[in-house]
Amino acid sequence: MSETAISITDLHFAYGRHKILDGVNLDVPQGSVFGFLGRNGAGKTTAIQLLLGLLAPQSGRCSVGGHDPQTDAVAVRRAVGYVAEDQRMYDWMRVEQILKWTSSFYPTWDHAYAQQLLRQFDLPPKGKIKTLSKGQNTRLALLLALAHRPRIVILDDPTLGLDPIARKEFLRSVITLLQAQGTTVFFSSHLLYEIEPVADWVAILDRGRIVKAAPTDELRDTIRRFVLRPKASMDLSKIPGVLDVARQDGQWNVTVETAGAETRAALSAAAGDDVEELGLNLDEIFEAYVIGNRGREVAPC
Amino acid sequence: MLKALLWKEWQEQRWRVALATVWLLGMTAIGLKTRILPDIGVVMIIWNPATIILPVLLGMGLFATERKERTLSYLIVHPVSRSQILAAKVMAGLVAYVAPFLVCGLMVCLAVGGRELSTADLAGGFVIMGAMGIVLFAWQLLAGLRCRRGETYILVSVIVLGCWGVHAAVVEEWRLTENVGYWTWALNPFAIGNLNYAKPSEVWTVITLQSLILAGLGFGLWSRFRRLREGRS
Amino acid sequence: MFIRIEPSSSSPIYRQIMDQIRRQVAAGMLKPGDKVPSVRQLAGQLAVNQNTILKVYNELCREHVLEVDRGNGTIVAQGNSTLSMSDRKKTVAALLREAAVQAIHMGIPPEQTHALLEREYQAILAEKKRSPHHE
Repeated sequence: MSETAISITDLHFAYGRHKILDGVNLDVPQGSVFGFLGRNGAGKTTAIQLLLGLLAPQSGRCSVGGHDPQTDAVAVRRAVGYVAEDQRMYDWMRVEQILKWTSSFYPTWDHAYAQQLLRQFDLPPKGKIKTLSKGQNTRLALLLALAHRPRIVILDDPTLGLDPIARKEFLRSVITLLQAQGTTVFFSSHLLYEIEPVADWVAILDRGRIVKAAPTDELRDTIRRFVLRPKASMDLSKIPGVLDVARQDGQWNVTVETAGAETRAALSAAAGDDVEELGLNLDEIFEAYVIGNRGREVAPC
Repeated sequence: MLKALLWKEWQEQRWRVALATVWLLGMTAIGLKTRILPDIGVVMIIWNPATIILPVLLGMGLFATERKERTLSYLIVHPVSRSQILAAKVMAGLVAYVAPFLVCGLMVCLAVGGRELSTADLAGGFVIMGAMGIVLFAWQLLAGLRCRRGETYILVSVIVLGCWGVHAAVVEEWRLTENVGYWTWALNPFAIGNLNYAKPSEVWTVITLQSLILAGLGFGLWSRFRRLREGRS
Repeated sequence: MFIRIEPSSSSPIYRQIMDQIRRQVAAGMLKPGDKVPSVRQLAGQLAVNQNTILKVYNELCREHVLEVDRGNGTIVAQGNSTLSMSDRKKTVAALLREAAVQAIHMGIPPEQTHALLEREYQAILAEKKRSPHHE
């Protein structure tokens, strides 16, 4: 068994002339909870569909659980539990019917486990799916994805439209049911504050590329913001690892990717000792990567 | 897995089948009982439209509604090949179409076989109409596969029927069968409907050509369905 | 054990949890020998990654705030820490330095900072006195 549960190599995908993925490289370690971040429309769902073999790339390769979705999509889907964004199932089926129906597709289906989850998620077995609330619907989708004991679970913005309590409960299920069993969880979302507590790793997809992929605490440790008053004018885009510079009343907020010795030296050169260092939360880190100006035009805060 | 797929299709279509059976049986019974028209007339008037309308309704349910309800994307995400999904849909569609015909046709044959028409002639008539409906069904499915709404599918189906209708009129008007050959007419699905008036050689032409066409349509359907992009764009 | 995480804080989550556990131990809400939830339990309770909780517990064990009681899980450290007094002082000194930096930035003079430290210290001790009746 390889150490990476999912690997993507130089993936390109375009929809007509519209380029969505422009050379994506990603490795998801086995057993990790991997947060896949990006703005709406950045291509997260497209990437996931490529992983499941629902789309064909222009070039590049993927490997999911050791299978290639382009040549053996069925094997990939058998090994993976998938919860789509806003999952719509067959309204007319009852909960117990859809359980039985879905189980026929998966040889590894665990009926006892499915029943246990049914009780745990508080779902009415005889209820029709059209009568379920949004929260129940999402829990049912999760149940169907987990009951066949997959080694990898792919969640595409699963908490969309859920109220805060239901969201918290969902994440709790992810931790207690999935991480506890060593299942790899690939979790796409644009709710950053939600991903951070649960993710081991975070990757940011922007403009068709992965602009950052790192363990979650490393992000916090290495991406820092420096507040300074520069004594001389300087070309801020030359600061090593600069992500964003904002200026307000002569004070600059310089956000950098790696607060190493070189960067600190460059900043001291500009502002002497009057440099304050701040930590950022994941929202701010995400913004710096996605809309940061890289020091090129110094915009007011 | 195929069993599960078939079960699902059947659950979704069974009400249409029940409705069709009841309607056909009811109307035919009334027509035959009251004898406003000769038996053959009753059968023609009630069953020819059914041959055309029933496939449209079924086809709508098999694909267009799934796309509209966005359950097709749910279906293809499962670990099952698209070929199997298509096979289940086509099989279910065929059964749903043939079942009312079979049931009602049997009833009619039993009830009035030998009265004005021989049982063999009646049965033959049903088989011919059924076959014509199947070919039309295939044309409509292929044309309407990508429709996202029921109404669009109905429109496309009507257009398909219209095209073949125009073809029939053109062949008739320009006497193409005399100039170019019978096969220009035999391409038309409606040609199946006229088989009981055709010469044996013509019958074979129609059967061969339509079988080939059916195979081609099946292949086209399969390859189109395989390439269908589903899910959000 | 009640812990509250603020997701948008610029303090990393593991540090928030560590700070709150340390505080509860210092204030006597968690007494030496008290059992703390297992890594899995706490992760599930807070909906936080298990590795983060593991990191927290490991760090707190290193600091001798918590210790592993074989067969019984993780408990609040009992009495005699095996860290030398100088090591313990080093840990506290680091925290005090950060506070001093902040005070300087905010322009609070040293005497007032001393007074603040004294006041906070007393407040914790007062909480600790109250806590035997707190259940």
